[in-house]
Amino acid sequence: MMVQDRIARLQGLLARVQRNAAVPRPARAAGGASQRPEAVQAEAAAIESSVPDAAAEVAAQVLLAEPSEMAVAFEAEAPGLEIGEVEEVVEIDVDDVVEVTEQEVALTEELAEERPPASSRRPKVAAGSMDEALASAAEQLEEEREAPLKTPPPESGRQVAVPAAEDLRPSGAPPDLEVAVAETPAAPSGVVPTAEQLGQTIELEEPTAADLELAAAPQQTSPPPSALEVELPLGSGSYAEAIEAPASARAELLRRRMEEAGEPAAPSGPEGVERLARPPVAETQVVEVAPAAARAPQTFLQLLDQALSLGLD
Amino acid sequence: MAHERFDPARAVRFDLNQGVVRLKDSVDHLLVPVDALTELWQGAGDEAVRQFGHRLGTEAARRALEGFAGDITEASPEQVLEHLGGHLALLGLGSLDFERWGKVLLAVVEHSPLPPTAGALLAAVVEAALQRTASRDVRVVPLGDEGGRQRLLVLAPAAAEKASGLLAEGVAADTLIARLNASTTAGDA
Repeated sequence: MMVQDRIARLQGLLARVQRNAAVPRPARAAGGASQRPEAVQAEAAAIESSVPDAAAEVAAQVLLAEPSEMAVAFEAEAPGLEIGEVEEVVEIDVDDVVEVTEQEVALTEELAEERPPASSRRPKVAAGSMDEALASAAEQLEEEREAPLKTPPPESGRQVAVPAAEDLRPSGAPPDLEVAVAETPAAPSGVVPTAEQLGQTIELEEPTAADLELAAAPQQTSPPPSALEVELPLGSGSYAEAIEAPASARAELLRRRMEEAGEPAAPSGPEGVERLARPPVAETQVVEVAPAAARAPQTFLQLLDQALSLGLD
Repeated sequence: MAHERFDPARAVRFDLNQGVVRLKDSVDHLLVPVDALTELWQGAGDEAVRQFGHRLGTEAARRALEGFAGDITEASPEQVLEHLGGHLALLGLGSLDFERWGKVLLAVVEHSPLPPTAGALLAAVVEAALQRTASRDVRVVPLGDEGGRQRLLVLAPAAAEKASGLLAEGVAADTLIARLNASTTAGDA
């Protein structure tokens, strides 16, 4: 796996070299083609030392060989690879490498707009050298680490997690405000849920007549008429003779007439009139009241003497 | 004073062999129909009826005093009534009660077999009984019959004479009782 990756990386590097060769450039200095810069030679040596297999040799030849020899070297050393026809091979100097790197950054930004899904194959590393590729990979990892991954829904794939409340809080906020921010459950305004998170969300249209709705008076909605409700007839000055008056109507009429006449009205009872009845008095109670003054004698002689003492004036 | 309860057991003894009816410790008696006796005393004078009644009352009081050992000084009205009324009941004269209307004392005889016009006879019986029991000079004035109840007014001789005169004048019995209770004069005033 490692060897194939490096081969693919070197192929990418070769593609960039081809693209750079198509770019017009100023006239190169005399004898520059035969003289290799020292940095390029040192990089080639480092690749040879770190990758001892055929792929490393191919890479070293790409860096050190003449442009006309590149296609032949690839065919000889890696017969399984199809590089394609090389129309024109130009020499690469340090300036070209730097140029390539800058253009690659611009190209990377353009490609970032159409970023492939996370489940697709990893894109090829665009770098002038292995160190740069490693460095760019490290930077990419650092960028990806800034937004921690969140357990995505099954259909959502990779997404940007919502930052924590501590991250949104300004550094110089007072403790009370910090507590208030920490207790706020609302998501930050800058974070918008993705379409995958929303699912089948139906977007409502913006109200167009909001002013008219607010200006209109609220209408009182009456409940639907029931089948048991009957509208009462309006007063026409007549009444039904067959309907009997309630039991308390007579007492109520009498009370109102007494009030109109200025007489104190009797308190209304169950039938409208309070009836006061004297409790029945037993005959024995009357007998006890009448002779209460006399003192009963204790003996028969006292009783007889008392009776004999009576006279008539 | 201890006294015996009225005991009518064996108070009347019928000696069928000799054909004699006797009360306890008394002379022989005669069972006479009421209507026959009534015709007899209605033909007699008032004094004869009064003497007849006195004899009945005196005999009943004598037997009543036997329950008090001859002394009724401490006897209550109820105790005297128990014995005296009991012995009058043995004679068949009815049931004796006492009523007190203020200071006025009434003797009431109920269920008497005698006719309503027999008030003078019953008054003579009660008068003699009270005299014999209490050793007082007592007069009894009949007030009339009210529903089978003979009401007898117990007074001193002078008051009884005035009351009899008022009743003869048509004064009602209740009015006479009220005037007796309103009077302050004692004795024969």
